[in-house]
Amino acid sequence: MLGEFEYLLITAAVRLADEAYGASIRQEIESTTGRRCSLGALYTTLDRLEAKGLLTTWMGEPTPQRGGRSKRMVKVTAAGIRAATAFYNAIRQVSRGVKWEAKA
Amino acid sequence: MIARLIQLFASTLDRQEREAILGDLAESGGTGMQALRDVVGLWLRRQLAAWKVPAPWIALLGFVLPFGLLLGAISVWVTDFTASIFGYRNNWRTIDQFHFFVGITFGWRWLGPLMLASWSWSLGFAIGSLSRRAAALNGLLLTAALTVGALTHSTFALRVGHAPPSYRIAVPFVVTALCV
Repeated sequence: MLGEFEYLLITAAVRLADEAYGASIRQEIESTTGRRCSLGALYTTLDRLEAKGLLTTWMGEPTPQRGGRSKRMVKVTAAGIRAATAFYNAIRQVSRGVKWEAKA
Repeated sequence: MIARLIQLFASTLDRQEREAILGDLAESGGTGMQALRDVVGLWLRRQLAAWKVPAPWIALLGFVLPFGLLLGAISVWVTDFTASIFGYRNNWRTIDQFHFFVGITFGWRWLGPLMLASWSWSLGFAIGSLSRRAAALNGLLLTAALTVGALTHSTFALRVGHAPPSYRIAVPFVVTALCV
């Protein structure tokens, strides 16, 4: 079972498709959740997911707006898609019928 | 200053990771402090991750703590030699110059700093070989062990009641820093 942040990362990477790399994934997560995403958390989670075979990474071409430095590109594998789908289904199942109302 | 700190912490990362991180920071365009926090955060996570295997713990318990304390104590012994040199310089006209000069030049006391430096190099090599990734944190802990080892042993200069603070405090640390 994925963790919450792992799910967020995989979802952001799938949404960004060919433009998925460190900075763009971070921006996607921050804009959708409204929470700060540290590069430390991002890169250690990338390593962990890659070790599990849920995504692959490789170094892209250097670009001028990055000071001539390369990107770490990300692609979610079929196993990653299955794991994210299972997580989403579990959240949907467990949330069914729950009324999100705070009691006074 | 902040840029130098960022470069310093980034230099401890793998080459490709450093390239990607510094590129991401340049592209994000955040403040220097935010960038520093990101790089330090990643460095800390990498350090902690390195301690999930036995090698750094073996280095810590088998080498850093016992030999750090031991080298700290030995550095105090070496301080005696250094204090002798200071004494020689400061009391040039009042002591037996010839015998003192012969004593510190050709005597057994030269062996102290050489042995201390050799053992320290060997210790550093062993720690680095056991766990390269955890070497930075083990290095900090080694410094702490050395300091404790040095502080828990009285020095020749300390035993001399009239010795000035430079003998009692500065010399042990200078000798430790230079040799270790």
